[in-house]
Amino acid sequence: MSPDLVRDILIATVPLMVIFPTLFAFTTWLERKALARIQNRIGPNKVGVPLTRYGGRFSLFGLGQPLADGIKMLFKENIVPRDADRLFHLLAPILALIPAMLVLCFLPIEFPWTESLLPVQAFLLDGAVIFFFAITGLNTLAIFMAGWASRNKYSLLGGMRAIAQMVSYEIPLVLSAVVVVMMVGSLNAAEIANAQAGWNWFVFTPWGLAAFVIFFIASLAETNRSPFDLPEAESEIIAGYFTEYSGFKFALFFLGEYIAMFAISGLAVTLFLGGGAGPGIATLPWLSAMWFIAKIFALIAVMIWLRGTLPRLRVDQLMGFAWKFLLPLSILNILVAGFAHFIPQENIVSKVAVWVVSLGILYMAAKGLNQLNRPNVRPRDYKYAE
Amino acid sequence: MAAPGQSQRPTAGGSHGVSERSHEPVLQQFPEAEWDEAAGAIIAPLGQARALAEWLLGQGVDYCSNVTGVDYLEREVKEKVTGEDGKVETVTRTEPGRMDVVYHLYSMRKQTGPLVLKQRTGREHPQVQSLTPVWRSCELQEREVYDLFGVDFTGHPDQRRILMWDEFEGHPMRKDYTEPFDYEWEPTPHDEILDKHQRGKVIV
Amino acid sequence: MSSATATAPNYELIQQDGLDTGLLEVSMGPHHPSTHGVFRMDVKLDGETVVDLSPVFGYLHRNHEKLAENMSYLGSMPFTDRLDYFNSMTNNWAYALAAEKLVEIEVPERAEYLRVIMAELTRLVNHLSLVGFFVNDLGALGTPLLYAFREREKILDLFEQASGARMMCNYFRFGGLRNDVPEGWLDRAREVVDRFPVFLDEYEKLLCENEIILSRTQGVGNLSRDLAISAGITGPMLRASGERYDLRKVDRYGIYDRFQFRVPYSDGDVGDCYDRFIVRMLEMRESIGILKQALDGIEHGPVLGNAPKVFKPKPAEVYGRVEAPKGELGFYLIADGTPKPYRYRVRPPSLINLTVLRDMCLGQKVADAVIILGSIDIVLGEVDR
Repeated sequence: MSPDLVRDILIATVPLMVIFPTLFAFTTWLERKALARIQNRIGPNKVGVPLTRYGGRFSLFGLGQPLADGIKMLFKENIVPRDADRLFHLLAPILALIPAMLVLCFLPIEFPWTESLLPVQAFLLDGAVIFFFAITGLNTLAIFMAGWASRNKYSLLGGMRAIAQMVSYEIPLVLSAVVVVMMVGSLNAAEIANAQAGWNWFVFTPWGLAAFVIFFIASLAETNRSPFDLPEAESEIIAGYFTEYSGFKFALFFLGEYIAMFAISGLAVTLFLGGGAGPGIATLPWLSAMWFIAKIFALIAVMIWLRGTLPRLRVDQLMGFAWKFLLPLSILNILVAGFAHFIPQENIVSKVAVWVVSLGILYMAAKGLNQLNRPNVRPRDYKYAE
Repeated sequence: MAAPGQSQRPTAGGSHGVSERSHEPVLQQFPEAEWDEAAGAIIAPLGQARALAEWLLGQGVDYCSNVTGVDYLEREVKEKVTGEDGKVETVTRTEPGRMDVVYHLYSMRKQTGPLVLKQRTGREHPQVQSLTPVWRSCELQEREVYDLFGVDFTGHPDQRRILMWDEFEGHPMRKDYTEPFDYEWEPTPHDEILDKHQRGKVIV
Repeated sequence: MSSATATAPNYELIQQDGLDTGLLEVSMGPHHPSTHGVFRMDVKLDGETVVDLSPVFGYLHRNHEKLAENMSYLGSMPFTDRLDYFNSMTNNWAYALAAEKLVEIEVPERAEYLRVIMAELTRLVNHLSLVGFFVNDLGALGTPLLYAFREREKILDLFEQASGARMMCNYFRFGGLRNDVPEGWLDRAREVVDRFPVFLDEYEKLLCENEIILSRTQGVGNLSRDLAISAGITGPMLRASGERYDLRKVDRYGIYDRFQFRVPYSDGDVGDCYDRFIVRMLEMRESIGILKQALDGIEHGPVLGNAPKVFKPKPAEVYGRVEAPKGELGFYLIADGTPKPYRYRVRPPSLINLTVLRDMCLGQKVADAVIILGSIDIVLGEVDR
C-alpha cells in the first residue's frame, strides 16, 4: 500500500461520499417540492436557514428541510419488533446502502482534483458494466432480508414482491445494455463514455432510443419507484419491507434507495446519454463532471414526474410486463441494432430510411405484444335510462 | 293539501306506489297469514315464513330492502268496549310481550313496493325462520337483529355477532336492557349493581 | 331463480409432497391507510391470491338507534349528520322525509328546491371523494385526490355559508329547512356549477383512458346483476351491474319529477370496478344538469312549513327512503303517540353493499381487494351507526 495508492483511493472515493449524499439531500427536497406542485400543493416552505433565529424570515423555499429531516431521523427511537431477527434487521439497511455506493465509484465522472488539473478517475475497471449489474443484484437480497427479519406479514408480502420484481426486471435491463456494449465492443465504462464524444450519443440512434426507453423503465422497477413501487405500496401493505424500521435505519434505507437511483441514472447516462459529453468541455475540462451530474438530475426529474402521475401496477401485470413485453422487445432490439449497423448509410435518405424501418419494426412489435397480452382492455360505452 | 303538480304525499302506513289491495293475493295463497291494518303489514304464519318468502320471490318481489327487529314489552292496554247493553266501558288487558322482525320488500323488476312482512315471536327464546336463502340482503341485517335483539334465525348460514364484540353478553337494543357498569368486567349487571342502576344511580 | 348464496369460484390449493405449505392469514386491520375508516378484513392468502375474506366491523358502533329512542324526533336530527359523515344533507333529508310521512306537513316550494340543490351538491361531494380516493388506492399518490378535493372545497364553502358548518350541517327540519340561504348564495352556487364541467373534462381526459387504470380495474370485482339484486345492492353499484333502479325515478320523492335527467347504467353483465367508477363520473354530469334546472326554477318564498310545535305523531309506522349517493338510505320509524320514537331504524346502504365483498374478492389478488373495497364506497359511520 504505497502512499500514492492510498492518496489515489482517498481522492477517488471521499469526494463521492461527500457530493452524493449532499445531492441526495437536495433530491429529497426537490422531490417533495415537485410532487407538491404536481398535486396542487406547495410543499415544504417553512424551514429555511438552519440552526439560526432567522429560520422563519429567510425561508429559502424550504431548503433547510432535508437537514431538519436528517436530524429528526437521527433522534428517533430505534424500535425493533420483539421476535424479529435482530442481526438481519440491522444488516439489511446497511446491505442496501453499500452496493449503491460501490457502484457510484465506478461511474466515469472525471473530477479534476489535483493541482495540475489532471483528471483522476476512479478505478479503471475493464468489466465495469458487468460489475454494475452484479452489484445491483445485492439490493434484492437486502430487501428480502428486511422483509423476512421484520416478522410482519406485510413486510413479508413486500419482500416477496420485491424479489419477484427486481429479479424479473434485471433481464431487460441487462439486455438493453448489451446492445450498447455490442456497438462499442468493450465493457469498460470510460470507453463507452468516450465513444459518444461530441454529439454521437447512443440515444440518437434508433436502437439506442429504444434501448434507452427499455433501460429507463427497467430502472424504475429496479429502484422500486412508481409505477413499480409495489414492494412499498402504501395503500395495500402500508410500507412493505420497511414497515418496522424507524429512525436511523429507515434513513439508511431511504439513502440507499436514492443513491441507487443516482447509480442507475449514472449508468444510463454513461451508456446512452454520452457520459460527460456536452458543449464547452474542450475549454473547461471540469465541465464534463457538471454535465454528467446535470444529466443524472434530468433523469431523476423524470422519475419524480412519473411518481406523481401514474398509478401503480398490480403484481401479475408487472411480471407480465417484464417477461412478455420488455424481454421480447429488448431481444428484438438487438437484432434491429445489428440490422441498423450493417446497412450502409451514406446519404441522408438511407439514414432516415434506417430510422423509420427500425422504429417501425419495434413499434409494431410493441403493439402486437400489447394486443397479445391484454386483448380486451379498452374504454366502454354506457347507457342512460330516462 | 298537495298542490297540483307536486308529487303524491304518501299516507302514514307507507304503501307508496303500490295499489291498496296488493296484499290480497298473499292472503289468498296463505290463508293463515294475517293482515295488520294499522301497520300495513302482512304477519307471516308460524313456520311458513320461508315458504311465503319463496312464493313472493316467484311473484317478482326480488329486493329486500330493510330487515329490522322491534321489541314490545308486556304492557297493559286500556280499550273502550261497548257491552251488549250499549254501555261503553274501559277494559284493561295485558298484551304479552313479543318481538317482531320486520321486512320491507320491493320489486325492482316491476318497480313497486313496499310490501311489509312481519314475523312474530315471543320474548323468551325468540326464534324465527331466516329468509337469507331467499334474499341475500337479509344476511347481514339478520345478523344485526341477532346481535342486538337476540332473535335466533334458523337456517341462517353464518349467525354470529356483527356489531358488538364476540364475547359480549346481552342484547343492547332490547327495551329492558340495562347498561353495565364496566363493559369488560361485568357485561350484565346483577345483584347490587343492578339494584343501584335501577334506582337511578348508574355510576357506583 | 337465482340462488341466494353465491358460490366461490373453483379454487384448489395444490399441496405438494414434502412441502409444508400453508395459507398466509393477514388481518388488514383497523389501522390501515386504505380501509376508509376503522374496518378490518381478515384475508387468507395463497401467495398473492385471496382465498378467503371475512370483513369485521363494529369498531365505530355508537348505537345511534337506541340513542334516538330516548330523544325527541327533532333532537336526533344532528345525529343523522354523523351517520354518513360525507353526505350529511342527504341523511337529514331522509330523516325529514320519514318524519313528514308520519305527520302531514306541507313543505314550501322554495324549501323543496333548496332541498334538491343541497342533495345534488352532496352527491357531487360524495362522488368527488370517491373518485379521488379510488385512484389514490390504485397508487397515484394523491394527485387525482387533491384535484378532486379542490372542487369539493368550493362546495363545502357553499355548505358553510348556507348552514354554518362544512360537514355536519344539521340543515333540514320537519317541514322545510332551518334557515334560508344568505344573499348571493344562489349566484355563487351557479358559478360553482358552471365551472364544474371543466374539472370533469380534465379528469376524464387524464384518468378514464389511462392504460394502467384500465387494466387494473377492468375485470376486477365482477358483480352480476342477479346477485346484486338479491343482495340488496342499491345506488351506483347496482346501476353499474346493469339494473336501472334509481329512487329519484321510482319513488319520485321531493320534486324530482319536475327535472329532466337521465340515469346512467352499464349494459354488459360485468359490473366491475371500472363500471362503478365511470357510472359515478357520469352521475356527476347528470347532477350538474339537475342543479342548473333547480337554480333556474327556484323562487322566493318561505322555507319552513307549519310543523307542529311539539312533534307528537299518532301511532303509525313509516319507511321513508331517498337515493343517497351511496345507495338507498331508509329510515323506519314507529311512532306511538309520545314525543319520542318507539323504534328508529336506519337502513344503511354501505352495510348492505358490503354483503357481496367476499364474493367479489375471492380469487383476486390482495391489491384488488383494496380496490374493490374502495369501489363499493363505504363510510364506517353508516356501516356501524
